[in-house]
Amino acid sequence: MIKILHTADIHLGAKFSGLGRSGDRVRAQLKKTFMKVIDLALEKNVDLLLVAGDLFNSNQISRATLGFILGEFARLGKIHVCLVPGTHDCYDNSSIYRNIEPSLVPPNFHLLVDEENPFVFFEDLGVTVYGRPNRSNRGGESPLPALNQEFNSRFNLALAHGSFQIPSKSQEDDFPITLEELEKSGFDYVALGHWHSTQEVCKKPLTYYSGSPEQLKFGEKDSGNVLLIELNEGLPRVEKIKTGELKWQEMELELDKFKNPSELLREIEKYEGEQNILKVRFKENLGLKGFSEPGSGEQDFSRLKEVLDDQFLHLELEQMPQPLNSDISSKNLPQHTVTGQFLKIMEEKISSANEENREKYQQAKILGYLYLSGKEGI
Amino acid sequence: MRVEKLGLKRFGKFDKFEIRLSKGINLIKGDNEAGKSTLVEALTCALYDDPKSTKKELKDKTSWGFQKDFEMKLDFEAEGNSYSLEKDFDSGFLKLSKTPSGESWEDKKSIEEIINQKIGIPTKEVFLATACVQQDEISRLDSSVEAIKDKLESLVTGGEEKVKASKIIEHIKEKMGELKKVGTKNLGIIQKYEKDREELTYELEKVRNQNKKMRESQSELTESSSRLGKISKESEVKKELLEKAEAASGLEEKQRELEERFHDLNTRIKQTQNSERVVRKLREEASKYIAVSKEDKDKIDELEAKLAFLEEKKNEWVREEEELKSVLMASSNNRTLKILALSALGLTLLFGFLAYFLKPVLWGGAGFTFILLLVSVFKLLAQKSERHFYSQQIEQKRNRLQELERDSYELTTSAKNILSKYNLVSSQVLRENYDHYRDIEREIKNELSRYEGWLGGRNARDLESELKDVTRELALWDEKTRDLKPFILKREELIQLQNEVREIEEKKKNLEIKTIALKKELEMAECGAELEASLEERLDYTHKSLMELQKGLEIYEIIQGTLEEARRKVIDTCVGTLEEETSKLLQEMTAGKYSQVRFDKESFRFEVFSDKLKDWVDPQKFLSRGTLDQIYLACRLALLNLISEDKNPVVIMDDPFVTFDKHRRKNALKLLKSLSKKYQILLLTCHDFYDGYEDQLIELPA
Repeated sequence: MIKILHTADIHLGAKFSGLGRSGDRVRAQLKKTFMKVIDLALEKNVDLLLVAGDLFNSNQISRATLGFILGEFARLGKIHVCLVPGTHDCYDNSSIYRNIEPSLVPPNFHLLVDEENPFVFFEDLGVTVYGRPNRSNRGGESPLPALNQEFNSRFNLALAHGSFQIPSKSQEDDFPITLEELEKSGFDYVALGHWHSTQEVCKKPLTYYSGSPEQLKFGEKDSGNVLLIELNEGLPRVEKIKTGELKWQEMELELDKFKNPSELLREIEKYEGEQNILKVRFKENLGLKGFSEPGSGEQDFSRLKEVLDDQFLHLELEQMPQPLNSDISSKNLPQHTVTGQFLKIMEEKISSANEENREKYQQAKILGYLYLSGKEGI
Repeated sequence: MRVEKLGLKRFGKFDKFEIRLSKGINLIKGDNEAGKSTLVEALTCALYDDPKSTKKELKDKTSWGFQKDFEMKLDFEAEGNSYSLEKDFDSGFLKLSKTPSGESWEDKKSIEEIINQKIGIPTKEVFLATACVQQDEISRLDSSVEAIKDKLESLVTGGEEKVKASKIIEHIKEKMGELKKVGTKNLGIIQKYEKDREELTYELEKVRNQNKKMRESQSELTESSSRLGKISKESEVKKELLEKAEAASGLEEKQRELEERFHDLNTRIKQTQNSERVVRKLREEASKYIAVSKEDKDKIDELEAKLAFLEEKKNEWVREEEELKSVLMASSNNRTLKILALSALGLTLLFGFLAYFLKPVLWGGAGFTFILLLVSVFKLLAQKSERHFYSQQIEQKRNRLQELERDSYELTTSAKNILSKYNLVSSQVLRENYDHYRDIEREIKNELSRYEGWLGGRNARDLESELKDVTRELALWDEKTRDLKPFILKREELIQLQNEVREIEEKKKNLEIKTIALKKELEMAECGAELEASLEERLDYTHKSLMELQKGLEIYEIIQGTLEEARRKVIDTCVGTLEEETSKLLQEMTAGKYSQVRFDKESFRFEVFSDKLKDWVDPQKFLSRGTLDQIYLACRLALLNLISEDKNPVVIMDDPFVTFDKHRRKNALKLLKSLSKKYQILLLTCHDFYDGYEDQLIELPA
C-alpha cells in the first residue's frame, strides 16, 4: 500500500482584491496552511506528496517565499514531493522553477518538467509519477501526461493542472482534460489541480481535484482541504482532510430591523473570529441613526468598524445600492413642502440621469429625505 | 388665541402679580420702570421658555432676594377652549390643562406642539420678529431673516419637515468642508486619500518595474543557462579535437627532433673519425723531423745574434785602430814645425843681438820672432802629448780585441755544443727542423680541438651509444604516432582551431559571468509578487475609498443644490403673498404714498417703489426714519398675518410709534384698531398718544 497526500492551488503570494491592508495577513495565513499540509504529511507518514500546480500565484514570487517552500519540502525528509507547475506558476522562460540554485533543492523534491521523460520512478515504492508542466497560463492542449508501459511499476500516478471538460461549460484554452482521455490513460490515480473546490472527477482511473488547502475568496465551496489517498491492490481509500482556517463569509443585513446600534453589533459579533473575513452588506438604511452616512468613504460605518475590526481578520461593511422603486416618493407628499419639492426635483433628475449617475441621485434623494425627515442626524 | 390672565411669582420686579386681559386693544400704561418691559418678557417667557432650562438669562429674571426661581401661570382661550399653562422655573414643573375637556399634558414636546399650534408662531425668535414689537425694534425682522425664512418655509409646508432645509444645508456644507479640506499638517479627508493614492501608485509602479525586471532577468537567465549548456558541449568537443591535434603536432615535432639528433650524432661520429685520421698522418709527418726544443732554438738564435754583434764590434774596433795608427803616424813626421821653431830661435837671437847692440828698433822683430818661437814650441809640445794619447788608445783597442776574440770563441763553442746535441750540422738546419716540427704540432693541436668540438664533452663511445638509442627511439616513435597521425593538422588549420576554441571559451566565459550576475541579481531581488499584491490591494482599497468619498461629496452637492432649489421654490410662493400683504398695509398706513413692496428672496431685504422717483428704492438709504418704521411695521404685520395664518396670536407693541409724527401715528393707530378685530393687542406705553383707542385700560402701579 502507498499513501499519498494530494494538494494543489495554494496560490502563495496571491493578491486579495478588496481586502486592503488585510491582504498581507491572508497571505501569511497561506504560508501557515502550507506548513500545516507538510505537518500533515509527516503525521500521516505518507510516501508521497503530490502538488498539482499553482503552488505559487505568480512566477515573480519573492526569493524568501521560494526559500520557505524549499525549506518546508526539506522538512519532509524521505517523503518524496512531486510537483508540476500550474497556470499561475507556469513553466515559461521566467518560471520560478527555473534556475533554482541546486544546493537549495532538497533531494526529495522532484519537479516534473521534462517533456521527453515526463515521469519519475521511485524504485523503493514501486511507483512512477507522471507529470507535464503547463508552459503558459492558457493552452488548448491537455496537461495529462502519457503513460509509458515499459515501466514495471506497481502504481502509476499522474499529476496535471487543467480543467476537466464539462460540455458547453468549459473553456477550450484552459488546459482541457476530457473524461475519455482519463479513461484511456491507464493511471491508478490522477491528481488534478486548477479547481479550488475538492471534487471527485472520475472513478476509473480514480481522479480528484484536491482543491486549495485554504479558501481564497468568497463563495468558494468546499475549499480548504487536502486529500489523503491510500492505494493498494484492493479498493483505494480517499480521505478529505480540512486544512483551511480562513472563513470567508458574506451576509446582508437590513438596518431597519435593528432597533439600535448595539443590537446590530451583537448580530455582527455572532460571526467574529480571528480567521474570519466577513463582508456585510447593508440594505435599506432608513432609520438607524449614528451608524451610517452613505457615500462618505471610510467614514462609512466607521464607528461600527472601529468597534468590530479587531474581532475579524478582515471586516468589510458595504452599503448596497438603494432600490430605485422606493416608498419615498413625491407623490406621497404635498408639493408646497420643501420635502415634496426636493423629492420632485430629485425624481426629475433621476429619470433624466444616465445609468452612471442614476444611483448617485437615488442615494442623494434618500439621504436628503432622511435628513428632512429627521431620521438622519445632523 | 386670546390671553386671559397672566400670573407671576418672583418674576423681575413682580414678587406676585396678576394681569387680566381682554379682547382688542389692551392699553397698558405705566411710567418708566413700572414694569412694562418685564411684562413683555414675562409673556414671551410664559409662551416659549422651558422651565427646566438652566440658562443664566432665565435664572436672572427671578426677583432679587428670592432663593426659589419664578413661577408663572398663563390662561388663554383658543378655538373655543380654555387652557391653563403652568410653569415653575424652580422645580421645572410644566403643565397644560384644557377645559372643559379636562385633558392635561405635562411633557414638554406635546405642550410645545399645542402652544405652537395655538399661537401660530413657532419660535420665540420669530415671535419677537413679528408679533412682538418692542421699543425701537420695529426693524428687528432684519436680524431674524433666516428664522423667518424657516418659518415661511414651514408655514408653506404646514410644518411637515422635522428639520429645516437651512440646517441641513449648513450641515452638508460643513461635511463637504471636512471632505474637501486642504491642509499642510492636518490633511483633509479626500486630500489624505489622494496623497495615499499618489504614494501607493508611485510605490506600486516601482515594484512593478522591479518585478518586470525580475521576470526579464529570469527569462534571460533561462536563456543564457541553456546557451551556456550548448556552448559548454561545443567547447568540450572542440577542445578535445584541439588537444589531439596539438598532441599530434607535438609528436611530429618530437620525431623531427629525434631525426635531427640522429643526424647530428652521425655527423659528429664521422667528423671525429676523420680528425683521428688527420692527427695520425700529422704525427707520422712530425716523426720525420727532430724535435728541437724551443729553448735550444732560442739559445742558438741568441748565440748567433751575439756572435754577429761581436763580429761587428771587432770590425769596428779594427777600423778604429787603423785610424788611430794613421793619425799617430801623421803627427810624428812634423819637421816643418821644428824647423820653424829653430828658425824662430835663431831669428830671435839675431834680432835680439842686433837690437841690443845695433839698433833698438829691431826689438820688435825680436819680439815677433820670439812669439813665433813660443807658438812653435807650444805646438810641438802639444803634438807630443797627442801622440802619446793615440798610442795608449791603440794599445787599449788591441787588448779589447783580444777579449772579443775570446768571447767569440766561447760562443761558437756553445753553439757547436747545441748542434752536436741534435747531431745537426748548422743552426740553419736546426731552425728548419724546429719550424717544421712546430707547424705540424700546431696542426695536430687544431685538429684535436676540432675533434673535441665534435665530441661535445663526450667521448666517442658515448656518441656511438647515443646514436644507437636515438635510432631505437625513432623506430619506437614511428609506431607510437601512428594513431594520432589522422589528427595532424596543417599549421594554419591548427591555428584556426586554436582560435575557434579561444573564441568559444571567451563566449563561454562571458556567458558564465552573465549567468552568475543574473543569479546574483535574482538572489538580491527584494521585491516580488507579494509586495506588488500588497500594494495593489492597498491602492485598490484607497482608490475605492476615494471614489466613495468623491461620490459622497457629489451626493452632498446634489442634496445641497436640490434642497436650495426646493427651498427657493417654496419660499418663492410665500414671498409673493408677503409682498401683496405688505403693499396693502403700507398703502393703508401711508395713505397711498407707497403702495408697492418687493422682497429679495435670499436676504429678505425689501425695496419700495417710489412714485416720486419712479423706481424701486432701498428704504434704508432713501426714506426718513418715520417712513422706514412705517414700512417695517407694515412688513411685520404682513409677516405676522402670513405666518400666524388664522391663529391670531397676541400682538405686543411696546411704544411702537415714538418715531412717527402725529399724522403717521394717527394712520398707524387706525390700522391698529382695525387689526384689533383679529388680534388681541397689548399696547404698552408711558405716553397718552393712544388714549381713546383702547378696549381696556390697565394702569401699572408706579
